Amino acid sequence: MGRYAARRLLVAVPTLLALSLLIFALVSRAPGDPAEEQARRQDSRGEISPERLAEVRHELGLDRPFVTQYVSWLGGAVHGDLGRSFVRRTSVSSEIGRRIPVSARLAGAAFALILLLSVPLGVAAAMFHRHWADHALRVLSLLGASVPGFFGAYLLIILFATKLGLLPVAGDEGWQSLVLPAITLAVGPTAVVSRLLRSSLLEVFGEDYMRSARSKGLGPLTVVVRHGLRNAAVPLVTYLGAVFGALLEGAVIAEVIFAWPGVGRLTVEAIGQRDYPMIQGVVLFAGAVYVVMNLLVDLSYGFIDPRIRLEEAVERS
Amino acid sequence: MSAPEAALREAGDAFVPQGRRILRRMLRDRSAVIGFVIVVIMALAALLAPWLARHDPIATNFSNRYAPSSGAHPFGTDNLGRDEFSRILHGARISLGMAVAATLGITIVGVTLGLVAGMSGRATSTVIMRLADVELALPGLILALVVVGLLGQGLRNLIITIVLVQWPTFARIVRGMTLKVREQDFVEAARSVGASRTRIMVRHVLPNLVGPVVVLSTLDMGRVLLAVSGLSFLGFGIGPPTPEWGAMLAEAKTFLDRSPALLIWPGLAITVMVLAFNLAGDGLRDLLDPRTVESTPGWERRRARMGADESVR
Repeated sequence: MGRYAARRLLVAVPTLLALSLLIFALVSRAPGDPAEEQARRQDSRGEISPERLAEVRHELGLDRPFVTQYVSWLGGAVHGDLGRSFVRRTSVSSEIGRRIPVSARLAGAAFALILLLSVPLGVAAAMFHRHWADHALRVLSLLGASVPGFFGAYLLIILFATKLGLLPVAGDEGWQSLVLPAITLAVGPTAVVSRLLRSSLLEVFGEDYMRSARSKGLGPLTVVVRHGLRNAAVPLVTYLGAVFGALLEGAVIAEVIFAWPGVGRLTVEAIGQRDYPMIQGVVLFAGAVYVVMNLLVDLSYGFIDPRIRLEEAVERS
Repeated sequence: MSAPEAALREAGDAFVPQGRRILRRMLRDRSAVIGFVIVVIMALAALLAPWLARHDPIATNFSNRYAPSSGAHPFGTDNLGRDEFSRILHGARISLGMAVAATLGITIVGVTLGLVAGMSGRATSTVIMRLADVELALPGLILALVVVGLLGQGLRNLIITIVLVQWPTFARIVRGMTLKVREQDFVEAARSVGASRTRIMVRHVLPNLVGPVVVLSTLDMGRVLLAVSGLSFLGFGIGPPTPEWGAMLAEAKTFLDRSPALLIWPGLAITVMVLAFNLAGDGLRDLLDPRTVESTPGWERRRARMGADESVR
């Protein structure tokens, strides 16, 4: 296990390094001149003299060779310093740091919702296999997986805010404002996870230990919850990485729609304002979170089910 | 490996049986038939939009704003008095056109790079696959946002972005299939008579990938349409007044209190299309999957299989 973990970590480090290079190159090679844009930001009136432009370029360190710029940015990033925002004039890392708890609250609520909804739905679909309830749940999950987040969000707004006037539509004021964005985020993953759980449970139903549990007189629901669920959950762990990805992506859309002041909204704002250091910072941060989450998911297989051959997992990845 | 990828990979393992048997089996899978019918109807609607739409999709009429559904305007009119039905129809041309163009691009780039990675030596293969890994180390939408944000809005940039972001999944699967086909006897036979690597690639390996690739592309269409309309919703697609579903939805959110229907029509259009692509792609995969037995109905087969393939359903 230790060796496997070490190997996975060794793969994650170059991946992150390559990602940082990709992000940095993408942003620096973007069409447009960041120095000119920055000069205009500071002085929107009139022409910008070549001297002023050179001055700004030097201030931003853009007159140095690409490799020097990248190395100094990466060096800072390793120490948690992602540079200064062009627009906010504040430190990029402290701005991200300020928004992490806000986004984490939303993602956490959505994750809890996904578990809370998909487990009973998956169990119900499996237990009522081929019954009309199973078919109804299939249609529901099909819809859930096909509705785009940005449409689902407005359907929720129309229903709960406009028509019923129950919940707030924007901002971060108490738990009520968490409800709609969290549901928006949870719908897609719930649809998929409940279906996965259903098929996994159906597979487990054929196992001997299920028959033994049943034959010693346990009720069907007890058997499913106590013996089935635990075994059926193992293959689902594989999908957790995809759930985190969906949460990261969904957070961008949900935060924009519900004016939720998290990292996702910061990303879209930074891109809209062409705030290069901020873009590099948030994207590197998102990449790091995603890589670490996937690493943890991979490592957790071994803990949950030691039978899984880890070496094989390395080959596949 | 993510679940959609697992599903695609599974689709990739499929092979192509022939003839009328396919059609017969296909007609038995009800949800797939529904999916195909919707796709065909919407494709026709998009192609025939100039003849089907009774109004100019960008002609404004300020004396008839926010009109409810009526005979003349089946979906009512929008904030500028434009006919919503005509806009949805013309929007199909742009939204579906972009999805098709992007999917074609992903297919071409993905198949080429996957094939090359599968057929060439270690160095080339490593370069291509590591690049794919790095791109996959970031959630697709976030990478897409950065790329399109830096390129600037516009249809062409949006399509380029989606191809750049989504080729890796495709290339990975194609490489896997290529590695399998490469080991077959007929490839060995071709090699033994002195066929060049390029010739083997194009004449012997590629034809064997056509079936699975068609399935992969169909399965991908729903995802691509979601990406297209999502980025367009965020303002990176085509600007007004051209009708495009994602942009129409974004525009309608401003008038949500006045007329929620303006938001619901384009949203519904996107949802129905994604649903149809998923159903159709799914049916196509089942059809081409050698493990599916002809006499068992769809749901019975699905029961037997493990989870990941459910994800696209």
